[in-house]
Amino acid sequence: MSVPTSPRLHANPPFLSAARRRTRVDFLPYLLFLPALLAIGAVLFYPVVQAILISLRAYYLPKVATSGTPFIGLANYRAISEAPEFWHALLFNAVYTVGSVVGLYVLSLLVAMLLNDEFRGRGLFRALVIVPWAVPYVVAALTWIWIFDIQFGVLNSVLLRTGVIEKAVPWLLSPNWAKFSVILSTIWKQFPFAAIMLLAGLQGIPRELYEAADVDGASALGRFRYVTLPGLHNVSLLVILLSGIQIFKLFTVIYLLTAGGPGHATETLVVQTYLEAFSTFDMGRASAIGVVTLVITLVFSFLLIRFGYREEAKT
Amino acid sequence: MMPRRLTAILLVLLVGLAIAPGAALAAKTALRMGTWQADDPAFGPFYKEAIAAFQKANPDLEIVLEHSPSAAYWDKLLTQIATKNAPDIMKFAGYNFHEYVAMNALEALDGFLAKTDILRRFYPVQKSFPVVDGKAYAVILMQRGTAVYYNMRMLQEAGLAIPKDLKQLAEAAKKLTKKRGAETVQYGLGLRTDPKHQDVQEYTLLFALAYGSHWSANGKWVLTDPKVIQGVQFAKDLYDAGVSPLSAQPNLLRELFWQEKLAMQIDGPWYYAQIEKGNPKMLKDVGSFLLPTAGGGGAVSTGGPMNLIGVSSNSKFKAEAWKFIEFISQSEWQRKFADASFNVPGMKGALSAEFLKANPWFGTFQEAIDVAEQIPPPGFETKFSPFRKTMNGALGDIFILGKPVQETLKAAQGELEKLATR
Repeated sequence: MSVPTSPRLHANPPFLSAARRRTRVDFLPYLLFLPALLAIGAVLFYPVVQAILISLRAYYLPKVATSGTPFIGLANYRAISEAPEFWHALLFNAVYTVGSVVGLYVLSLLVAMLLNDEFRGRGLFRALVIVPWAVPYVVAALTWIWIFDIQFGVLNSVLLRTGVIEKAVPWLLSPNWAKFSVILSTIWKQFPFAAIMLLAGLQGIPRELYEAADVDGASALGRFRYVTLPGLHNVSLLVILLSGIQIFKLFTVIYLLTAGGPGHATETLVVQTYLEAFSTFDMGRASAIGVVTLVITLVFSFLLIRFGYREEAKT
Repeated sequence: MMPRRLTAILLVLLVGLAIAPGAALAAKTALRMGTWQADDPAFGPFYKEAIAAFQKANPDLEIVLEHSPSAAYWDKLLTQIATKNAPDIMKFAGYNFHEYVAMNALEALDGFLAKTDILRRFYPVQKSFPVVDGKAYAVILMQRGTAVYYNMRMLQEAGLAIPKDLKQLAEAAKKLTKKRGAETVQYGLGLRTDPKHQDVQEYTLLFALAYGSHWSANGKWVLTDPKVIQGVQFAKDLYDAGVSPLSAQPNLLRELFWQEKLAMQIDGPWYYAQIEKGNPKMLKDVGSFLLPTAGGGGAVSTGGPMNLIGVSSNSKFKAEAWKFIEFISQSEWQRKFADASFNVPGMKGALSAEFLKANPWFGTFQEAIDVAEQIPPPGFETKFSPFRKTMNGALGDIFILGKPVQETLKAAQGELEKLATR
């Protein structure tokens, strides 16, 4: 086992014997690390451990007074796995995450490429593109609610007036449209972060590569295919994994737009966790769904770290 | 040497300063009170005045208000209860009160109540609604019923009288709906149909009640009962006829009414104050009536006890917390509550003759108290929150997606039966 030693010069005074110098442990790094560890432990690990413990108990609040919270092993996990709503939420969570990530990646790549070109007012546009990201989630969701309103919403109004549609679209009120609408508003909210990262990636691609491609007679598509995309490989991976993790556990947008409805149409695992806890009062099942969500997010995070290290090692 | 002495003196002074106010506070017992109404123009001033008077009468007690907006209040309270950190004094809505009793969140108040005349002075419902397994867990603060607000001018111009049955109501709603081209410029009757909003099931329940049934009866769900189906179908037909904005939330309907773009809208007594604020000029044209039964000859309403106040079962200061509840249950404060909030409090006769004379429109809401049915389905009071979610979803499917009433209600009944076994 390796023991960290201080990198400071003269950390081991010369009068110490060689043996003592070898065995002496420098506690300073641990001490410096301790406050952060304690803070993280208090606000992160403790609740996670609690959630895992609660998920192993019958913790239905209206029955706590009469039946207590007996240990029931994996019964909550069995119960959620037998509920069609859980599988529906898991499936929609996947659709929502993939749909949003694909949408935001394509949009942010287009925006990043536009902003990478030189044109008048580029600085202003680069600043403006941040706006959706800077707007708080609640404000963004409330704005979208009004945009999507079936009767008074600007979207239906424009589409009706321009003759694109003949009848108002129930954006948030029909299951399929609601799924589309929450993905659309998530893309709008999340794309600036990805666009800025991709823009930074584009700026890191050497000009010479494009010039060489030009000399070789590559078309615009060829330059994009053989220079831009490979040059953005690492950043793209990071953008996709980071956005995927964030969108997978995103609560505010969906809850405010649809509260998981109509029916269960737009319920994701986090929304279902909330509803199970605060509408049904079943803390045991809510914790079980929460733990499943955590495991999935951890897998994503593991992939992120693994790919991150691998790419770092390559470079 | 000097700096050390100076430091010591400063330290002593600092410690002294820190202890002094603490010592003064230590003499007082701080009682935490949870509410969602502290900033409400109707209720806030009442609580502020009542707390000031209570603290003056009880200098050893201090009420610390813990206010959260309505939407966040319930999540916060649930978390506090689950972590045994609930406020000493807690307020509840009538529709979810029994869920919290089931969670053992409230202290039984019978011992305290027995030493007062509250049961004698209050409406008889105080002896039944907050009582579970023979124990009373709260004091009723406010009761309400719903009624139909109408724009007298619009009805007169259309040559309509106040509807006496549902058929007349439907005719009036259709006649009062006016279109200019494809655009509706005036709606006849506001229907709360946005499934995301908690009120949908309550306001649709009114029509089921008009046909003679609640969502449950004798401890069983009766969503497939013909009376319920007829009631929901009636509301659905009206909605399909375009008398109400699509997927409407209460605030939208309220605004349309005071903008004189909606002729009739169902609401509680507090809405009058909102009209007064939104468009005081139209007050002279505002009337109200109780929703008639399907065949006429009767009226229906929803509500009953709506605000209740109780003591946390985890409170260290139960007797002190009760003191405040007893204080605001006095006749003087019950009258003040009625005057300030335009609501019927728990005590009988709190509304003075002068108040009713000055506010004749309120008579309808006083009558509503007598016929108002409780919002939670009888027998399923402790399952109200999950019920509401299921029922609102089903009603959303019916109103918004146009799913057939009977089949959708049957499916909802199945879901609710599963829920009941949990």
